[in-house]
Amino acid sequence: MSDIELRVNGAVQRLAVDDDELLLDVLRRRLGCTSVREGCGVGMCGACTVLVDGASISSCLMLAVRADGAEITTAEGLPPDDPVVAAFVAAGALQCGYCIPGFVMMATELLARNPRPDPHAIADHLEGNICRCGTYGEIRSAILAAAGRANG
Amino acid sequence: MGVGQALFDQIVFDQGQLRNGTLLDYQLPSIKDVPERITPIIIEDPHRSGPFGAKGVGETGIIPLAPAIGNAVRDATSVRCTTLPLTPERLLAAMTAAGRIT
Repeated sequence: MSDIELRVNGAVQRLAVDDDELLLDVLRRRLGCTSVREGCGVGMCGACTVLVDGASISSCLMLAVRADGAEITTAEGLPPDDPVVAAFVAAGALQCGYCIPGFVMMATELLARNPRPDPHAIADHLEGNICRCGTYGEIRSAILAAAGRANG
Repeated sequence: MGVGQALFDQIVFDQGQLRNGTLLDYQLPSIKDVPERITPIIIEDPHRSGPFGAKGVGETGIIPLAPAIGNAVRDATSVRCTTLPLTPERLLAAMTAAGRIT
């Protein structure tokens, strides 16, 4: 066991975690951040994506002890009027919705780095996230709209 | 989903053991595999046995995708491939068998 301190969506959390405990399980089961989902458990689908110090990571591949001291943002930590979330809702960019928090976090990271991405930059950034329902077209439109590029 | 059926989805067994049980080796379409624009064309055609001519909608759109991609492959290579998914390995074998590649 190790004592760690995480700053999750602005709140400081002090936890004793097993050395093999995944960040995914700490966020989801112990802190109740259920937007963090385990899709594949092997870092291939992106459903568990969270931002650690502003950079996207697959939380199913990160040990919680490695995140000691880090600032973590999940979809729960986005403001109610978050432009990315609003654009996803407006574009109807989901079907079952399981993968969507991962896409939202990736889009948030992309727009922080590149406020006006073109469709190519969006595809490059989101290539590692899988949506089995195939709502990629709507996701692309939503991110373009959030970036103020509704017409591409 | 239709794109995945046509190009990627397959479950591989070896002596009864599933060989591609994770997303590391079971490929799904990514955002780069799906066209930027999809234009649905709705043809209203009453169903003979459905109530008031009604029929299901939604995933029926999956059905014509594999034939459409198969036709495009035939157009491009002159090889008719009738086994899904249309993987590069399968296409190479079919083109070699047809004498398109020597």
